Amino acid sequence: MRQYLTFELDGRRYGVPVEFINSVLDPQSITPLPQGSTLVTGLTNVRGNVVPVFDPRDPLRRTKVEDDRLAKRPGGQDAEADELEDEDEEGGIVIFESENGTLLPFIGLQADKIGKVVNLESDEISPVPDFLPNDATKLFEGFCFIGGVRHSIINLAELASKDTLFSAGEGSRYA
Amino acid sequence: MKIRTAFSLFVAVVLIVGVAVSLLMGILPAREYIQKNFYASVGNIVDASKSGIQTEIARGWEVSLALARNPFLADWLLGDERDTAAGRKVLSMAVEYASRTGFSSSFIANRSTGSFYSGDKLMQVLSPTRADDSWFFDVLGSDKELTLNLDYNEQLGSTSLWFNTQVLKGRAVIGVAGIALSIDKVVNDFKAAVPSANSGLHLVDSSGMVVVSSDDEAIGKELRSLISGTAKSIPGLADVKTFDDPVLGPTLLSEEQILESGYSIAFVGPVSDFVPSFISLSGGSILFTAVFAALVVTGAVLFISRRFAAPILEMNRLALGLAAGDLSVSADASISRRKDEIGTLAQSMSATVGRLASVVSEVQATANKVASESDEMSSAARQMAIGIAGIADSSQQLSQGASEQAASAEQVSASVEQMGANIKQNADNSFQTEKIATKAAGDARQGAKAVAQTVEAMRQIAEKTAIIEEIARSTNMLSLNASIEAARAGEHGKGFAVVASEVGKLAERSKMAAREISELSKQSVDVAEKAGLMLQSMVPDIQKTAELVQEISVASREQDTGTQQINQAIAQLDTVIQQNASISEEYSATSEQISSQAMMVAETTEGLAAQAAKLKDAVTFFKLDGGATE
Repeated sequence: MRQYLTFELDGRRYGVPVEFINSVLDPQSITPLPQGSTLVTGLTNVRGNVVPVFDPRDPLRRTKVEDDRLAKRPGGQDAEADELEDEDEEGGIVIFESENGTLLPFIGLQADKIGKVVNLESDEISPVPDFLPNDATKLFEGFCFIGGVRHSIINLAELASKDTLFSAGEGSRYA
Repeated sequence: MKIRTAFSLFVAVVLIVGVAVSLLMGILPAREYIQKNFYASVGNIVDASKSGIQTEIARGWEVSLALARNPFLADWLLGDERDTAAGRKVLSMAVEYASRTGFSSSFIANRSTGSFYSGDKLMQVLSPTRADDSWFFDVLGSDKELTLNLDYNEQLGSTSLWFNTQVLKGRAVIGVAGIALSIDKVVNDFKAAVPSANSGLHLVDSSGMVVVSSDDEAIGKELRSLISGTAKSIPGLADVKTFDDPVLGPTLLSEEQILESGYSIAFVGPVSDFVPSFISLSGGSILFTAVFAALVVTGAVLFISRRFAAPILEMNRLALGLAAGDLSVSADASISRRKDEIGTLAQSMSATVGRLASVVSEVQATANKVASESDEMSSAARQMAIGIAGIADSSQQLSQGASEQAASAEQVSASVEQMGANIKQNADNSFQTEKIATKAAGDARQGAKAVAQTVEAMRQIAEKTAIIEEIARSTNMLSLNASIEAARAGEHGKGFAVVASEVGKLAERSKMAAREISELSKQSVDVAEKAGLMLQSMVPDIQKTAELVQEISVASREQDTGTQQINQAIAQLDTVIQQNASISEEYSATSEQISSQAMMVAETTEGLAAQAAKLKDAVTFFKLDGGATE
């Protein structure tokens, strides 16, 4: 059993293992970067430390899915509960912290909504299908349904890697 | 008729005295004056009558002298007489002399030859032996140059007055020449020169014989025989003398020499021929004059008495008629027509009588009218008395009515006073209402303010709730972080995770509660705002009500004063009505008096009618033209 923190970006829900989370902050002002990339948007202050903030919306949106269809997903009583839950949730900045050197010691992500810490068993997580391209698959560890809502488990090591971030920051593939 | 006699006597005496005085004062001095100047004028007349003859004889004298002294004549007589040229010249000259002077003929006689020329013809030769020719030799021997001679001439067949003049050569008489004047002409001249029928002009020769005269009987007589008595000279007249002729009375005599001829002209004429008859004043004429004057005086007296006494008698008749009351008399038209004062008197008398007649007739008519009208007036006054008595009754009723009116007015006054009290109460009530409404408006305004404050409080509550919500959120966030921390702590953090989740649930609940409070406060804010709006909208209505009530209050106050005025007016009306009542009572009393007076008037008019009847009787004394005495 692993614990995950859920959050929402552009109407899609994601989950991140709690081990990578340092803390959750209220939304606060972000100082923009000169010649900033679309991925690393600026800097913010966490307990006296300057932490970069990135916005993974673009890389996560690589796959084109009609928002209309997304909105038309089937729902019932659970959906109402979700909505209620959704309403309670608020935006904020999630500060990640890495265990090894692949990740930056601290990096912030601006989330539209921050959900709760949930406990998930390993069987509740369905793996990523094989026929997906590498670029797509490597960002996700799997998918799960929490309250009828599909959550994507993010491979944070891959998403917040220097390569990903800086390649985007150098403005090549994601620009 | 007395006045007529007196008037006649008076006028006669006046006229007679007047005539006598005029005679004395006028005629006697005139006679004296005329007698004084008479002889002078008679002398003039005598001179005038003599002078014509004298002049004629003097002219003959001069012509004879001129002829005889002509040198051609003397020359011719001394020279050859047969010298016919000189003879004819002289003879024609002589003829011319004669014809120039108007004398009948001229003559020339030569001494030496004795031839006698009459005109231019040799008539005869004069001879001293012939008696008829003696005059020639008398003239030749005369010591006078010229002599007059009256002689009958056979050749001429008439008696002539000869002017014989000696023709002288030195001292010698060589002939005689001259002119002859026909005696008929002389006599005619004398007769023409006589100034009056009884007077005469006489040519007297030196012996005192009358040779030529205007009186044929006097020729050949001595002048002296014509004068009786001695002639006396008249003072103031040199040539004229006077004597008394037994037939003709005083007669004048004037004699004058003609040059140096020895002949003279005498004038004899009675004075009576030259004196006007009234100066002579014979007895008959005076008598005639007296009779005439008496006739004139009588006529004048009759005329004047007729002219002036008659009108007075007429006036007298008129006045007597007037005194008898006869007004039909009038002055005679002939007198009224006169233009003098008597005419005016008659006219004014007639006018007076006419005016009096008209006045009397008017008086009669008026008296009749007064009598009848005073009867009418008497009855009218009686009726008036009755009518005024009725008026007195009516005014008594009027007085009663006025008293009732006064009572009614008092009742009305009481009612109006009550009404005034009601209106006053109304005014007070409306004033109170106005106060209340004003207060209500103020309260409403305050209410609105309170609501606004409430809203403000609610808003603050909402804010505070937001803080709580924020706290809840922060708490949630903290619980989230706590649960993260607990998860990271692994097995050790399990209990902490439960606490964190409990904290998270609390935060959730407090958040929910805060949201509910917020909702509720929002709703209550809406409600309060609505209430505030309603109160706000209420304020003007209340204010309007207050204003309306104020107007009502003002109106009631005005009504109050109005009723007070009405009350005053009614009080005045009351006094007026009371006065009316008293006046009508007085009026009643007065009209009763008037009624009695009208009765008196009726009696008086009856008396007036009686007086008018008396007047009528009195006026009947006058008799009018139409006999309209009644």
